[in-house]
Amino acid sequence: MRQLSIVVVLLCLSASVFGADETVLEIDIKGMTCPFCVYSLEKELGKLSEVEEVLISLKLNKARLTLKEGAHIDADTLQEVVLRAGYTPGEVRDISEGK
Amino acid sequence: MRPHRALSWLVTLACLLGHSVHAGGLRSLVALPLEPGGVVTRLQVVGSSNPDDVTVVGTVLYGLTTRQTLIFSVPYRELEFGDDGFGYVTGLYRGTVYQHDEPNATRRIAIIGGIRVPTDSNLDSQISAGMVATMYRHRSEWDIDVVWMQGLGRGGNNARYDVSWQYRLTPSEYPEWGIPTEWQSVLELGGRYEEGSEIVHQFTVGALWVHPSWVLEAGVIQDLNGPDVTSFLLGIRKHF
Repeated sequence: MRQLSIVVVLLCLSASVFGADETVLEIDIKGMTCPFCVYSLEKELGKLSEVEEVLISLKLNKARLTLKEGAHIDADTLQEVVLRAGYTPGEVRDISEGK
Repeated sequence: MRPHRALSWLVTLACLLGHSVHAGGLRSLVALPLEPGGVVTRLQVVGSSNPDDVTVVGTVLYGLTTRQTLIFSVPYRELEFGDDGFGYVTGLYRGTVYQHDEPNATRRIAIIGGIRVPTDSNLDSQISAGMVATMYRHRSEWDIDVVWMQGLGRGGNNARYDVSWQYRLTPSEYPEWGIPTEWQSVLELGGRYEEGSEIVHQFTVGALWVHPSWVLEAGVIQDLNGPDVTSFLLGIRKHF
């Protein structure tokens, strides 16, 4: 009985660790300048209900978005948000594990 | 006009259109974007060697659309002899007419138009029109503006120009991810013209501490001709 419990716990843990349906997207962005200006971009991307976390790279000129479990955003929507914030969007890539 | 009063008006005039509320120079305008619905506020204190001459300028920017921004500004002057008070309330429209973005770089041009309404009935309104260009590449930003203020009724005309160079001192290189805070140096050359007087050219040196949602600013303004006044400037900007 005790062995069975351990097996069940391990199965649950592995499902939560390895089975998470997490999507990570990256979008190239042109025209980003200083932190004060880029703040608006981070804010606008963070407003998307599908987005769990936003990271901006002034060095690499892109934003990385981790989506909520099971969520999906199409490239056009992302590019539109970047454009609305005042910047020029580029290519959107899905860099989720296994992609 | 008493010298201290003339100075006060000059400083007020200098501040009234100092709407670089977004990241940008200390006194120059800027053509960088503000997101639709976004709000940036700025509180700036400008004083001189005369402790009685202090002007506090409050400014609010509102992002109307991606390319259109509204700017409202009001200064409060505290003077000796009891003539404290608000100066001109300024309402400006800024519209981006050109934008070219590259990685770590942008070039933008915006037109500016608006009205300055006095709170003192002895003064007259002015309408203003001008343009501002911003060029940013890697660690440097250049802002160049020219504005004409046409007096209505009895009021005289004013004009201004600014050339501002900001250079990112730290970090020398951005981190891979995340928005860092940074220090920028600022050098500016500006001119303020009031009808009936010669244009006063001014040199400004200062620094900005730039946080993603805050900017602290400080600078010293030196007249290059005319009244030969040295002023200081302290300010804070907040992006909501």
